[in-house]
Amino acid sequence: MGVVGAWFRERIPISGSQLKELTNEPVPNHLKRWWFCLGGTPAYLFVVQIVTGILLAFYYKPSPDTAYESVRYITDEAAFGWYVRSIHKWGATLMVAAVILHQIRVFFTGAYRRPREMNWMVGMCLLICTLTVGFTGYSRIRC
Amino acid sequence: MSENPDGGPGGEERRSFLSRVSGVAMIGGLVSGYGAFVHIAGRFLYPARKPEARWLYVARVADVAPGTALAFQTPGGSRITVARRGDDFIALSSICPHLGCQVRWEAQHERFFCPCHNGVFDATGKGTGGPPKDADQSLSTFPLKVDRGLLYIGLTEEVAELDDDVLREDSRDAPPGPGHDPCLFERPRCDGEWRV
Repeated sequence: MGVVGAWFRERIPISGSQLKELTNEPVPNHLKRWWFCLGGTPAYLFVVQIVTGILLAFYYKPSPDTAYESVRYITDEAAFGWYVRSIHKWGATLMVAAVILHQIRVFFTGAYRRPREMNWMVGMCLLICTLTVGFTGYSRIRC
Repeated sequence: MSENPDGGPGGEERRSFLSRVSGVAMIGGLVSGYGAFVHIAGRFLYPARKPEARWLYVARVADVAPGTALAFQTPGGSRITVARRGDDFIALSSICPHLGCQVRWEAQHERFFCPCHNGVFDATGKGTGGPPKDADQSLSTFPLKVDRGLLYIGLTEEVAELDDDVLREDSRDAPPGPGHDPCLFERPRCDGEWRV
């Protein structure tokens, strides 16, 4: 392991077997289906939207007079600006799609039933949040 | 020993080898993927260098009389007004900085006018009315140089490049439908009445 390993082990006292116990938690067989990944998909896309959104906010000027020019700058002149903007745009679209697919999964696997009624309500609030944020982004001038 | 679920002798070894290889491949993929994105984000945030200008021939200086202007069309299809005042030349983009419509020169008012939101620019390209004035925007200018009696314009790579979309639009014969900017389809011409 060496000096570096010992240094880390002293500060983060987790052994390999403990880590294995944490990460190799057995998953019930009926959960080993791809559609159970649809909850994590919008969560991941949300992080993508935050990261690319912060990057775009460095250049975007939201006033109606300057928005077009700043988006043109992002798309045409800033290095990889077209790429960051495209990720943000497609991430928004895919996030709405993933949220809807996730809700379909929850509905058809009956995951909203007792004792998980609250999860469904929280999920509905998150759905409305997603659609609202998606709408505010979509309404921007050329962004 | 005869019933080995790992597929014969050495299965144990093969399995640990495969899990190690797939682990390395997974970590490698994650590191290179996120590393590429961090690199892209860094390049995105780092202030852009002024792109190097490519000099394109416009006209012979002797052919442009003082006080006149000519419409120069870039290979990319955008129109640039090149005007002469005395011995000075000025090159103005015809793209409105507000929302990207095409401005046109109105000789009777001595101004550039953008039909989309009534943007007005004076002969030097400064915004004097409408949204461009409110936002203190001007028509963007391009560098010009005179070399041995010939006038050249400095265009960045993107502007100088051929634009397939514009070429396709140019070759389209159908008249523009409603909702299109009619100025986009106007043929470039030399407006001699341009005055500074």
